[in-house]
Amino acid sequence: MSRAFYLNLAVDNLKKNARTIIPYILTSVLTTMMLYMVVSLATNPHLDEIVGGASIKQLLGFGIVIIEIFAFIFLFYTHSFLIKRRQKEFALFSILGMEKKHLARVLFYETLITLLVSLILGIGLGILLDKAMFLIIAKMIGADIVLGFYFSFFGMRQCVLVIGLIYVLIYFYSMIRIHISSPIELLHSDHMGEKEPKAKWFLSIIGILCLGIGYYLSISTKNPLSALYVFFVAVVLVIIGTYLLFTSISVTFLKLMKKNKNYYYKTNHFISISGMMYRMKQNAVGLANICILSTMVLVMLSTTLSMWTSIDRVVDSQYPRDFIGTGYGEASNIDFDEMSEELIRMGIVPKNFLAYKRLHYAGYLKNGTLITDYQNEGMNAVNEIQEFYCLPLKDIQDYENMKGSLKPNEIYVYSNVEKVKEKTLSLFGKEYVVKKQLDHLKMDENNPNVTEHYYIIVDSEKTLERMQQDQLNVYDDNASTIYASYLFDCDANDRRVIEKLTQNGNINNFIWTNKSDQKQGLIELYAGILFIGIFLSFLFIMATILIMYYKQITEGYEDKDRFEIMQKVGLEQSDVKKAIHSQVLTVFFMPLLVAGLHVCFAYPMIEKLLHLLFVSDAWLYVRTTAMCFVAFALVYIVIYVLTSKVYYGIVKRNV
Amino acid sequence: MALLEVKNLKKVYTTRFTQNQVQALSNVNFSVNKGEYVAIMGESGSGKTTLLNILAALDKPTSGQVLLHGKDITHISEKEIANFRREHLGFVFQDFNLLDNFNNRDNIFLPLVLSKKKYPEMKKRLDPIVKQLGIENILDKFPYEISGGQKQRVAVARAIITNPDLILADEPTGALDSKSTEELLHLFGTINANQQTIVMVTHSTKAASHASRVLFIKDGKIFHEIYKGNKNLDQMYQCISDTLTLLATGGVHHE
Repeated sequence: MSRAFYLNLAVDNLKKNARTIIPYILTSVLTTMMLYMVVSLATNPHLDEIVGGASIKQLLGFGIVIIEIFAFIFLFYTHSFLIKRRQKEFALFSILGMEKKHLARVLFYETLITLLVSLILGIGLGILLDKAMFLIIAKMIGADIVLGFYFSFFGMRQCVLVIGLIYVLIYFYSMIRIHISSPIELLHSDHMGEKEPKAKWFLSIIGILCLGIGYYLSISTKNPLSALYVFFVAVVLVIIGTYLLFTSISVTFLKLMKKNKNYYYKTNHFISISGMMYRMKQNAVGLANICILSTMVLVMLSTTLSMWTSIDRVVDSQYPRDFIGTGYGEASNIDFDEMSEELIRMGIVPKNFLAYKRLHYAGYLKNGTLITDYQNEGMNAVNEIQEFYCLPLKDIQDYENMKGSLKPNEIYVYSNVEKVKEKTLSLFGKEYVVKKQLDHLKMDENNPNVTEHYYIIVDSEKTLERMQQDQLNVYDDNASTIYASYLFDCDANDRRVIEKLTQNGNINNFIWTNKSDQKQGLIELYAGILFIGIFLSFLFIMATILIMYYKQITEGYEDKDRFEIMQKVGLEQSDVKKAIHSQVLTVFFMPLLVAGLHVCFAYPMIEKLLHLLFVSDAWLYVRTTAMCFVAFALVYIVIYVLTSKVYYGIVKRNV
Repeated sequence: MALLEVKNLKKVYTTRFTQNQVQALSNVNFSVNKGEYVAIMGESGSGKTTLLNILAALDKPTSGQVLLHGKDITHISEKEIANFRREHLGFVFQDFNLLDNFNNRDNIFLPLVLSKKKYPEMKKRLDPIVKQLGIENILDKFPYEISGGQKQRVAVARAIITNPDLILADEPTGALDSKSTEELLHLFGTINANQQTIVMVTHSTKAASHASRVLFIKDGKIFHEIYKGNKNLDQMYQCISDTLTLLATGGVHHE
């Protein structure tokens, strides 16, 4: 047989299976396009010219790996679905006298055609959209826009290599599938009776436990530092729980409903319970996948968006003033008034100036005594640790608008957790009388509540120095030193100010930073994260659409026969529609609802993790998540309407 | 009064692409009395399936009437049709049409569930039928776990559990081996002995020989009918096969 014959047959097959192949090719094209775009952006020389482009490039490099991994998973998964649907067709070919090696040839041409279409269209679209993406990034980080056309040879090479490799693997996988099955088996695979799933009590209980513990971990975590580690444990538990929820818990639940005879033998319950049971058996893993992907999209989008929109706030919390100078060690012995005079001499007029000396150490307060020896106490050091900020009253009296005075052995105490119950505090072996507990401290407003912390206000710098000595005796090498902070706003051009500050030797021992530089740095970092977040979300949404589309088609073919029989026995048309509707709706929207539930329970933990990144506005996160959920639900509904049209098209032919 | 009356039934199909008209039934008249066991025979393409579909209210005739208890079922609205089918008719199909996702008990219950009957009543109706059909042991199994003969018995149970006025059987022995065929026909005889009316479409001479009356249909018309009367099974079989030969060789219509 000639080569043209196989080629024609391959083209014919693709045309015949258009309904299932086209969505697959579309995914393949879009995946290729995204891969090209990310690689191209990551290697774009123009990005180097933009300030901060380098950090975005680094993030994109990381994104390439993730996209490649997911490209592999999605393409492989959807293709295995296609092959399964086509088993019968292959069986027919083999019964008509085609050998397996001939089938292999036809399949080879099919794979080749799909690959070429994906690469040509994917890279083509990629080149077109690449420029647009570049402009968006440039705009996000506020850089000047470089015009000009850029074609990434490296991107193209990467696409050909990666997508090509995926296709080679897919081809071999289909070959294996064809080889291990006999034609008769293939031909009748459709008619094999589906065994009714069994109630799996053991797995159901494990599933409920996994979900319960995962949720509990998220709710109960107090400390953001430990949240990071607990977060991963919780995520793994919830993923396991989700799979078990869809595979076992659902079936067990349906079985329980079936046991209740008076409930089960009602028209709508009767049809939907048995229908759902089989749907769950066949689709549980797919639905769990959709659910987990949806949760990922939601969490990723809402956190990255929250981070992006709160940049100003984050910068403000770290930089209460335009400029911050910090002096450590020797430099901390400075006199602030002299510093101000010096600045004025240099032509800088500090406004809203705030300066203080501060001693910052860690420990754990127990019954009014600072515990410094963690090992002997045998506690989880990271969880229980508390931070102590000690400042002299004089430095912050004006800023905090505090009246009165303190004696050397008296202190004011402010805490972000709970008030101290004791009248005196013992710090490094010295007793201090708590003169007043402060309800509010302006300095702490912008402090992200990462840890439990205390502010100890002492009478003077001298007491602070003495406390530092006491601390040195206890902590030895681990002791911290006093440092001086000098913060101010300024009208003059930022750059020139910082240049002047760093030129002057006297003040040079201070480390000077300014807000606008910091902000630019954050924008670049977050722009990179947001960009990748959106990219991956897009990829996940695409995967979700595809999985759902294929599910609807398979189910359509299976349900068609069932509903035909029921109609012959006397099921009313309106009941048919109702039953179909309720089943499709349940199967479709269950993953979305569970994803919503996951997101709700993830909230306490994510809120704390965001604290670590200085995003302390919880309400912002809630709003962003709600917005993302609504947007995602809308996309989901659109997918539902489109795919269920295909489904009804199949089922209704005889209805 | 007759239970079922078919008057001047006519069915013309128009093919989709050409204007050619195909006459499936040209003028069919017959009636079935309560408790009768009627077989309808004919070659492929003679119109027997069309006739059965119209009797089952699955298809509408071009003209003519089908009266069940004096009520014309060809003019029942779409809405009531499902309900009508459930309450008055029972079906036995060649390919059983059992649902694989229900166990056999639930398959039998299906029409009752659709009629919104209560579970205790369903159970009360099930017990005697199950005993009569000898399917006690397979109720908890699934259709794909039992043999063809057993499947057909489950299907019969599903058809009679609603106490229908009329059982319509479409080639019920078509997919069965000879032993199962024998058993099923015996079963039909027993059911019929309990005053259950049966109309069966078949081209198996053996199946038809069990009926109390056989109608022969050819070219969309009732061509001939044979009453069993006092004939035994063998005589009836002979009689039917003679008629079929006559039909095949193009015998003339005789009154």
